[in-house]
Amino acid sequence: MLAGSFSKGELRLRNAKSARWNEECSLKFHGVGVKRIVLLFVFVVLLIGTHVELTRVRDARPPQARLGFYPPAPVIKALTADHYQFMSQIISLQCLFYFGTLVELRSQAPDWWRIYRAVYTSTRLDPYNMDAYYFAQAVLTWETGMIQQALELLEYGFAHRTWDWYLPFYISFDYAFFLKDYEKAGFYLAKAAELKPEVEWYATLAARYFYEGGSTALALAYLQEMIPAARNEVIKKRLVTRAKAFEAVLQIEQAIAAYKQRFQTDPEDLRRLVSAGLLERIPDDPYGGKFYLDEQGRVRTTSKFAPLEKIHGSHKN
Amino acid sequence: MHSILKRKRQLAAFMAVAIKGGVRDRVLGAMVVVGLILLLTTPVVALFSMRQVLALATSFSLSIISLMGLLLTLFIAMGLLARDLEQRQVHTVCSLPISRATYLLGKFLGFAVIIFLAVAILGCFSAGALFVLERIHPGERAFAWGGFFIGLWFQYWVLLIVGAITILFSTVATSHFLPLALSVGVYLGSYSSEAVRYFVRTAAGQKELGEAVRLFGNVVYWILPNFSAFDLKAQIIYGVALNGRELLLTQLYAVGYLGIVLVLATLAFARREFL
Repeated sequence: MLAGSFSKGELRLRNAKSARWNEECSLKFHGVGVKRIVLLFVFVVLLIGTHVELTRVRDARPPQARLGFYPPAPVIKALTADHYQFMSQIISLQCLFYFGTLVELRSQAPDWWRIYRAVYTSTRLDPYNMDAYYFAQAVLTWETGMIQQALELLEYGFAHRTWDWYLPFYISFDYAFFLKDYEKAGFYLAKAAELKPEVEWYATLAARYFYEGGSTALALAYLQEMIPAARNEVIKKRLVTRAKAFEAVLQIEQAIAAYKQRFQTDPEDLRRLVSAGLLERIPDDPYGGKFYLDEQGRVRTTSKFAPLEKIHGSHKN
Repeated sequence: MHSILKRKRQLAAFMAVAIKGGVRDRVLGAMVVVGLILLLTTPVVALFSMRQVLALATSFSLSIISLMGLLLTLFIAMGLLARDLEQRQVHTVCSLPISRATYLLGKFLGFAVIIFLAVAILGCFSAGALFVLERIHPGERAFAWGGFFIGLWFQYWVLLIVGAITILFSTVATSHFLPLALSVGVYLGSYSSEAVRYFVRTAAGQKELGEAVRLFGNVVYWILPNFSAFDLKAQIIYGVALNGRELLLTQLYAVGYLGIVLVLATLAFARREFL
């Protein structure tokens, strides 16, 4: 019946009648219709039941499915209008959550390539997004060995964040430590020193580290710079573990240097350093491996500086 | 002189009606609630960032202001004429010795005031949250407060243009949905038109796209407003330097574009037949 067919008074009368009829017909429980209570109960049971099961099913998905698929940056940009910066940050946070989940659930192999693609998309959406570059440096390099890809991302970032000394510092470290390209490392470290002259070791100590090949000391200095700035606990924990491993290596290297000076020869193995009184004991590898000397007399560990269960992760490079 | 004054009074009267409509719809109250939510959620969202708490907070705040502004613009601009047409109040107005252009412009001015207040309310709440966060988590560079308010100003002009376009579509459309769909399309397209123009001019664009598609890309760029120029988020969030000449040109461009859309809207509205 159309409301327009009645006068206002008549409509009010009919509404009151209808309300009274509803009132009389329905069974009440504490003033609320029983039918509604039953319906509400059915829907609540349905919701809780499905929500619990849905959570279980979604939790069981392979980790690859969790990070999701992101279309290319231009497509996202076209669809999100002026929200692309925020979208870029959401993608880099998704990478962090995904990575954090994997660290917690150690049994699942990560899809590094997918993480790299997501970080790449994030930087193409917002080339200033420091979270994406920080994640690339803290995770992609050490964890996956995607040095070239990480360097491409960082160099792209430095082309935009021209005031940021962290990026040339990271790039310099990657060239020196992973690629042993000291010329490029020196070039980027000089850039970092230009932008941040108050950090003296950028300009002086690091140069010495490069030329003397003291990569362990460089790694430690680099990690000591990274750790205080790390705000995410998962990443911080991993950086601290890595720093502890390098401290142990540095301790052994210093003992080897002292051994060479004293005996004019290389030690055959690490036990010789202990028996010569240069080490109290062979330090523990925080990754669970054992330190040893390789054929060239360099300090190595059976863990290869990675949690032992992670070495066989799905790494497509 | 007398007629100009009279026209001004009529404009002010329609503007006041539109503002009262906005106040009656509790638009500003709703914006205060959204602003409070923004104030409370911004620090929480920002804490997820690994290295740029303030940048994430700014990006989140600006996105919310932009989204709320767009929803509000579409909601108000859609109802500005539609409500009067539906309730046939426009018939009464048209029977008076008042030009339809005055009626439309008065309504638009009222809309502009409401949107300005809404952006200002959200901007103030957002600035409050960012001010506190800057004290707790200072960025590597000082926060660009000047850039923040200039960015909000240009965001306001985007909303004005979108509102004017919605009104233009409302003057010719007979359904509610069409102006809404077209305005959203124009809004999205206007943020991509510059990128499309760049792409059709690249070697890959020349090679992959046909002549007609390239022409279409160029035509779209010249017809749609170039909202990319109004987007100063990178400058606000990361403190990238603003270009004064570019800002001035963008402001003049915005005035020109808005003027054209409003003139077209008044022309279309003058020719509309009321049944």
